[in-house]
Amino acid sequence: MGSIRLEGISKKYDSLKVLRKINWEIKEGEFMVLVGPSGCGKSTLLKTILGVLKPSSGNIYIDGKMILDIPISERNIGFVPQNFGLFPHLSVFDNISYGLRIRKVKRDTIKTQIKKLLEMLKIDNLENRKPHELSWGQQQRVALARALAIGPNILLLDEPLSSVDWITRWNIAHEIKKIQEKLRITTIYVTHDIDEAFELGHRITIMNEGRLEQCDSPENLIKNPINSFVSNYVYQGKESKRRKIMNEIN
Amino acid sequence: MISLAIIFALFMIISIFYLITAIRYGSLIVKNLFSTKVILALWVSIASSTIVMAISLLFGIPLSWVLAHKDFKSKSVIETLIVDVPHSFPPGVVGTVYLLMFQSSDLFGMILEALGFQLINTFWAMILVKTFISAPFLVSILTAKLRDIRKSELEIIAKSLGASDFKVFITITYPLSKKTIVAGSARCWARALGEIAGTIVFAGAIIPGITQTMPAIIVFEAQTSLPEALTLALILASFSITILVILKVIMERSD
Repeated sequence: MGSIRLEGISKKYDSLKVLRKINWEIKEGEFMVLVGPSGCGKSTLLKTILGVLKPSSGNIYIDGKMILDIPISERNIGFVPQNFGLFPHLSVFDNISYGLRIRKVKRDTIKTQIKKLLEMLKIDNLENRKPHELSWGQQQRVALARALAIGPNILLLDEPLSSVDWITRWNIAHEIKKIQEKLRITTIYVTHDIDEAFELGHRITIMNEGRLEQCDSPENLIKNPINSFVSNYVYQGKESKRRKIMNEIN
Repeated sequence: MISLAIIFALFMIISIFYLITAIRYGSLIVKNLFSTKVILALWVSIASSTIVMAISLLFGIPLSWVLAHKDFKSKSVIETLIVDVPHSFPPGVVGTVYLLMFQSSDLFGMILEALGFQLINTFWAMILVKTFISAPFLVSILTAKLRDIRKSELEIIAKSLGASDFKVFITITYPLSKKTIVAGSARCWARALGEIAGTIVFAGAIIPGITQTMPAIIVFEAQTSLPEALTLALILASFSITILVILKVIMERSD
């Protein structure tokens, strides 16, 4: 469950075109990384899939079914925003169990499910704390656990690690990848960091000025960049998996 | 900068101190506290302010929510008209506008007359004026708070987790804005309690137990007996501060 198809998605604010006729396909269980410079429309695209924004034109299909008329609360999409968005007045347990309580799941079932998630994300000693008592890394894990608790078909992560330090970011990014591979949830991971994109993505989509420039495997992006923007974007950055691939090719 | 701040702080403290000096008229305070006129005026002031606060909450919370969450054409113009302009309107002007609006030769006055209602110089005239003047004190700070909550995207996350608009309001928006609602209600209540000019113009403010409020008595007494006015002011201020402190305690305990 969870293939996504976008057909001709555009978004305009008055005369400003934020998304330009986007066609995009994400396979079931795939870890797709969406990468591009700040302001290129990544978050707008993600929020359009989530259902917060309505596209000016085009259609979105999940598992072949058009979802534009389905309200956000019924799309069953897990979402982790840039600032984690933990409910500050609720404990860790209540944050993670929020979606299940809304669905009126039995209390015992909630406890069992949340316990499993807390253990999986290594935050089982934090359930009674409030968000402001947590470190950035812990907050990120709680936000991920909350999104996973509802058993989503799709997981959208909007630059979830942009505000944590480099080492924490690297560790959590790999944990996210492991969890995704275990649960096989179709995931779109937004970042502006090309190294993070190469480290995580089954496929990577490079976006610029509201357009999808290229959607391909990490290897193909390096071997066959479609234009100079992709080529320049891929070649920037630090030592990474990208460099390893480049070395192997050479 | 610091010296200007000190001058202003001294000005405020001295003003409050002079109100407290009314304690020297101890026997007059006791006499006034038990006079029927003062009890009735206190009752009218507190009852009318509480009704105004309730009306402001009933309409002000949905209005603030719409202003914070919905984007529509001319929104800023409408917001200026219904929130900012009433803030800057002199209350006497408000009373005069309502006098014109509800006179028997005008549309609203004719409608009320046809329905058998007389609004001018009644308790409800006072409620109308006070609501116009006081409700923006709640709406302005609540709208700002709800905008902050909207920007935080917490409501979007709650929706993505399956919550309906109503559930989002009950479980996220309300708990996060509760303190602001209480603070805004207190400001609205205090403004309604102190309102005088609009009430005198539109409601008369002379019928004991119906339209005569404490501020009205204070204004009238100040023309003839300063000690009388000062003691009444102290009584009103004491009641007002006590109620505001109670609200603050309730707010802190609810956390």
